Amino acid sequence: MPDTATRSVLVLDPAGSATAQAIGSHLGSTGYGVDTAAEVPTDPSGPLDAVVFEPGLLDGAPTRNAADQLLTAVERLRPHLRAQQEGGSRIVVLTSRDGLGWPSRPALAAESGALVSAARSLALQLGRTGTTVNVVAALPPEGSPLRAEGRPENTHLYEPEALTPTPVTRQDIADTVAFFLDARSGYVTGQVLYCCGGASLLSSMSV
Amino acid sequence: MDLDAQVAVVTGAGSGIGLAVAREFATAGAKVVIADIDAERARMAAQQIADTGATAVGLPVDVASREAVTKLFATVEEQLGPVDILVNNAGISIDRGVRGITDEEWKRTQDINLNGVFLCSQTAARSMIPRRSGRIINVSSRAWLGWFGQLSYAASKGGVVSATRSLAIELAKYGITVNCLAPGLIDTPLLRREPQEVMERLLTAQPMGTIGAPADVGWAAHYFASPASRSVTGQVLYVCGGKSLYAQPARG
Ligand SMILES: NC(=O)c1ccc[n+]([C@@H]2O[C@H](COP(=O)([O-])OP(=O)(O)OC[C@H]3O[C@@H](n4cnc5c(N)ncnc54)[C@H](O)[C@@H]3O)[C@@H](O)[C@H]2O)c1
Repeated sequence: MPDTATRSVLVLDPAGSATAQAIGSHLGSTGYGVDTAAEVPTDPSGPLDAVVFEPGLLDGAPTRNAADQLLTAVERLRPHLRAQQEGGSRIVVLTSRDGLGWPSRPALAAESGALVSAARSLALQLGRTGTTVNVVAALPPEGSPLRAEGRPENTHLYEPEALTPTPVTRQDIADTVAFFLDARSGYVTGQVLYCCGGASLLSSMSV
Repeated sequence: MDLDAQVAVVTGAGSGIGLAVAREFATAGAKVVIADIDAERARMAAQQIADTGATAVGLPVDVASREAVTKLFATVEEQLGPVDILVNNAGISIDRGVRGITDEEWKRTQDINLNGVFLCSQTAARSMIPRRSGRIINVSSRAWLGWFGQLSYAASKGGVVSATRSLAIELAKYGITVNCLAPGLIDTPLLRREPQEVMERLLTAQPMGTIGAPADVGWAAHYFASPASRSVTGQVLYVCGGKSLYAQPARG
């Protein structure tokens, strides 16, 4: 579903994650001009059409204060975001489905939950500037070390799985990011899309 | 094009959001069926789309009638093949609040907005399951969260959200995704029927300060219809300019 001719995107990848890499290469292959950086560059090039913040939660990076990092990054990038008259800018934040609550990863769940709250607040803050802020909350994808963790100790639960026939891949996550980044998604803001093959549906917090 | 040769049925597509969805799908290569209770409107809309070189057929349906829905899908199968994508978009809004609404109005709202989703989804799912693929997209509304004077409409649209989740859970293993769009304020004939005073109140509640276009919903429907969303199911995507985050009530 291409509509990306020469749009510029900054991928913030503080953890050097495999998911960030997959997102960057997918966006690059569909026509975006992609810059990847561990933190906000001192002088980001040109007006930015989009920013992707991927703190590495889906790959089990030992992240702390991801919401602070997001808020600081957005504050610094604000002057570089494309103006409303030119279609505004898109910000997409990556979190884990663990934000709905997961026994063996409460810290990761809390980071995910905080990112959603921060993103919703940013969406309200930036609404009138034409910049949208959305969240992709994914199931840890195929290849993530989290998928190999096995049963949470002292519970009878097992790692959530996709209900759909194929496991969730990093490509699926990149596709979801691409939807929010699209120029035509300008009326969608503050939303969370679970890219999890339906695994989020079994929690009350997912609606 | 990512919807090439897919057969897409869009209910209530004679006007507004449904028409925009049908146009978007046609541009992406789908063969579209404009199904509407207003047969003439459906025919004209299909003609307009066919004039652009796409395949489009206009057919009459009352989504609240089992008989009419069965006939619709049989005709579609005969003329274009089995349905790959269903968009349950037909809907009405009778807003008279708890004090004003009559039994008849309550029933009619549920019949079209909720029973219609059941009848069309069941018919489509029965044809999709053996083929192990399909897309169902339901048009609910941000109003399902509740809004002033929208008791019957909100309740019907809440039912659509709930139906979406159960359908998604049940159909996932067959490779069928079921998702829901919850538009906020969208510039369509349905909205233009609102008095000026209501319109002003509605705009105050918009975080982005703008009214969406039917094409905004069309694009979101395209995403849910496309292979790119195969791992996304049971979701409620608000296309609402942020109104689902905080809908500011009018003062006084
Ligand atoms: N416009 C908005 O702001 C808005 C916001 C949220 C949700 N929605 C929802 O989007 C959908 C489309 O709304 P719209 O604004 O385009 O409305 P609309 O009135 O412009 O179009 C609705 C179409 O549905 C058809 N229809 C009505 N009853 C039918 C029936 N029983 N069987 C088949 N077709 C029938 C009508 O003839 C019409 O062509 C509805 O479900 C509505 O509730 C609209």
